Amino acid sequence: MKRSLLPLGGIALVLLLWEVAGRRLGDALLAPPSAVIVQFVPQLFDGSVLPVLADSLRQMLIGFGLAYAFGVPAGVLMARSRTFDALAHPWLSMGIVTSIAALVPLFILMFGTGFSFRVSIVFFAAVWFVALTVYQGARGIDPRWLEVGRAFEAGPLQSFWKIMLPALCPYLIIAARIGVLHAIRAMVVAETFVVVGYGALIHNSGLSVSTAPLLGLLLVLMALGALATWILRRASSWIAPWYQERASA
Amino acid sequence: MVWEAIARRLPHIVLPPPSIVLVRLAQDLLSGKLVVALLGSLEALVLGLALTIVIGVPLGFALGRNRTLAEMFDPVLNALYAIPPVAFVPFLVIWFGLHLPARIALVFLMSVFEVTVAVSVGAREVNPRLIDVGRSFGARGFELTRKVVFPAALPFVFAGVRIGLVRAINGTITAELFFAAINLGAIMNEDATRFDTAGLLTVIVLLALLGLAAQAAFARLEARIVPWHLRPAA
Amino acid sequence: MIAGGPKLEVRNLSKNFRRSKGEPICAIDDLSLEVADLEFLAIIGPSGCGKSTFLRIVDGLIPPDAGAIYVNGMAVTGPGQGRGMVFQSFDLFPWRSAIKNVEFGLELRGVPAPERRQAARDYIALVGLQGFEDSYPHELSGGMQQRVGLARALAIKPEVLLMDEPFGSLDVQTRDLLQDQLLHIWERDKKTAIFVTHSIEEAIYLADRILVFSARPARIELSVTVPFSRPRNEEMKTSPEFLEIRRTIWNVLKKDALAEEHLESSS
Ligand SMILES: Nc1ncnc2c1ncn2[C@@H]1O[C@H](COP(=O)(O)OP(=O)(O)OP(=O)(O)O)[C@@H](O)[C@H]1O
Ligand SMILES: [Mg+2]
Repeated sequence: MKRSLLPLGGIALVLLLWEVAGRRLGDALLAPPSAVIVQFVPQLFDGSVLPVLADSLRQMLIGFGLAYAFGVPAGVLMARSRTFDALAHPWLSMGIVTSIAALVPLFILMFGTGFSFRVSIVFFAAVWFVALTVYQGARGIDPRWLEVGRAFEAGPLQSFWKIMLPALCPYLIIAARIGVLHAIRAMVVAETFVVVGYGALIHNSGLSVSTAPLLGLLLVLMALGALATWILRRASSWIAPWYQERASA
Repeated sequence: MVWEAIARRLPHIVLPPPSIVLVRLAQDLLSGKLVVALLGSLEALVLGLALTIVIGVPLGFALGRNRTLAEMFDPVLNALYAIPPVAFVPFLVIWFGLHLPARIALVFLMSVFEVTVAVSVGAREVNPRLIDVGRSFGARGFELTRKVVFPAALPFVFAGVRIGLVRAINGTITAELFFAAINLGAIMNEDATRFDTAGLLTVIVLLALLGLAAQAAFARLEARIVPWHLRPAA
Repeated sequence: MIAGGPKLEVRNLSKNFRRSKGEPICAIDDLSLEVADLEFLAIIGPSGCGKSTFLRIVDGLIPPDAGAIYVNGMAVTGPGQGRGMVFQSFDLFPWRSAIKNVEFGLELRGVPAPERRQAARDYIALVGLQGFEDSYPHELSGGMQQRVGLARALAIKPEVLLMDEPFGSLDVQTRDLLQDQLLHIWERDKKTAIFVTHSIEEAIYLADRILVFSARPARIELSVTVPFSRPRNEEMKTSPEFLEIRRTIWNVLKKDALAEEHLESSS
């Protein structure tokens, strides 16, 4: 078999197994892919799913955007300033290991269950990972590059634009990719808990007699994650073609 | 400090200062309330993580050492990984109900991918020259795996399980909140209905500290078991 | 063993490597040679000409595309039949202490633990590393690591010892020291040896016979028999004969290097 066909073969095999298992177990336990297509695809386009998803994504993107806008400078600052690093690092370590689900009840008390709640949960989920990735990237900048810059009489601003930023570029994109994945996860956690938006769709479809709509909703999320990853990988090879990321990192 | 400064100006219901949270943490630990809940939580944590290790480590080795398998199933794995684990909750309810089996399943789902991916990367990147040495001295098949591939990838196994451990702790509290509330999840639920933000923060801080402590303890264990890995593998 | 036959025979060996892009690389093309019993053969040749590939085929690590290797008249089909290899970058197992590295081959042969421990101890002593048995490779210097590598190969009592630039990544002093140590060990317990190197002096100093390989694909450009008696000593390195052999080999290598450069600039 040609190597390029193997991934398709793997996906086909899994779909086949799923179909067989689904038919034996029945829709109530595990709807097969065929049932998902028949039952979910019409629902996907009848206006009950996509607008809800768009609204959820909008709020997710706001939270993620804030996390990114805050996390990137924080990461750079931590990498360049010892004092700031000493102050902020314990919080970063705490933030990374903190469970988003555990924050949900607290944030509901603090922000209610509306827009600001959802945005702040997403913010809190993503910001640590953005900061950590950028921090690691900025720490990896070889001081010799900056010295070369100084040798060529580059000012601090110039050396930021001409040396730091290009060196950071790949990490900025990795940070976005990791951040978005965590943001999507957090969005689902928050929305499923308070039963709003796309999370409400997931929650409610869990109550229906067939698992087909639920599986359909999961597949949409999967596609979304894959799409975000794909876009950012493309962006990476476009913006920083010299940076070869190791496969499956 | 910033937290303390801001919190002192706000009503305590909105954001209690860390001093209050720490006192509360000490109180609840001493009274045994948190300890009992924590011990209860361990059950799902340990079982879920064990399942992850039993399945994730061999799966990682298989994907790392067999190119055909990797090319077939890496895309599937990545796709599944892209689904937020909590989205599986309604599904897990249908299959496993609301209690221990469901919690174990969520802990497993939240940690298994990290472990599998880390192990497969480690197994893939075993220095091919070391494998040559093994073969040159006559090692083949399973013996080659046991004597060369496995020890060479062991640091990655540890790194994977360390991440998996933190994810499993997160999975445990997530499960306790999203299925039938129990243990720490039940405490959080009660605190929430009483608008007790200090209580909520106490549990959150406890969990974060637990995560950090578990990581540190695990790193210790790692230094014991894989002492050659003090330097990154060449 | 066939009386009078060569210890090791290489017959019409060819090896190509497929590449992901472009034409396959022909590393070895129709190479034949013989090594006598207890002979110390050195191989020297331009970088990338296929020396390591040749040793790997002799060891049985990779199969040839055509041709065959015979040891004692028996065809080699895989690794681990009476051949021991010392690797260029030492390649010790970082998770095994020095003595455990030396035990590795014996372990695979099913030698009982007390016995192999004793044997490993003896070989560690032979290469002069007493007291470092329980050190891990990262706690040893390069020279010490390669001595462990040598002990590891010797411990399986190979009939043919293969060495791929074993001292290539060591500094000059360490290298000189290890050359003498290797000679000492080899002269006490002779075995057939193939030694790949980039250093002409090293080849002349150690070997009974030197083969100069051409640039890729590897062919035998020159075969020199070294006239010095054993045991060898430092003084030989400055004798007129030594310098003469050195110049002969250098002229052949230089021609090849120049031709290579010419090829690359014209293509
Ligand atoms: N596994 C492989 N796949 C593809 N090409 C290979 C492989 N191994 C070696 N080659 C190619 O075969 C040629 C010979 O390689 P080899 O390592 O045998 O050279 P060498 O003579 O040992 O060089 P050096 O003196 O630098 O160690 C090189 O051009 C190399 O690129
Ligand atoms: Mg070589």
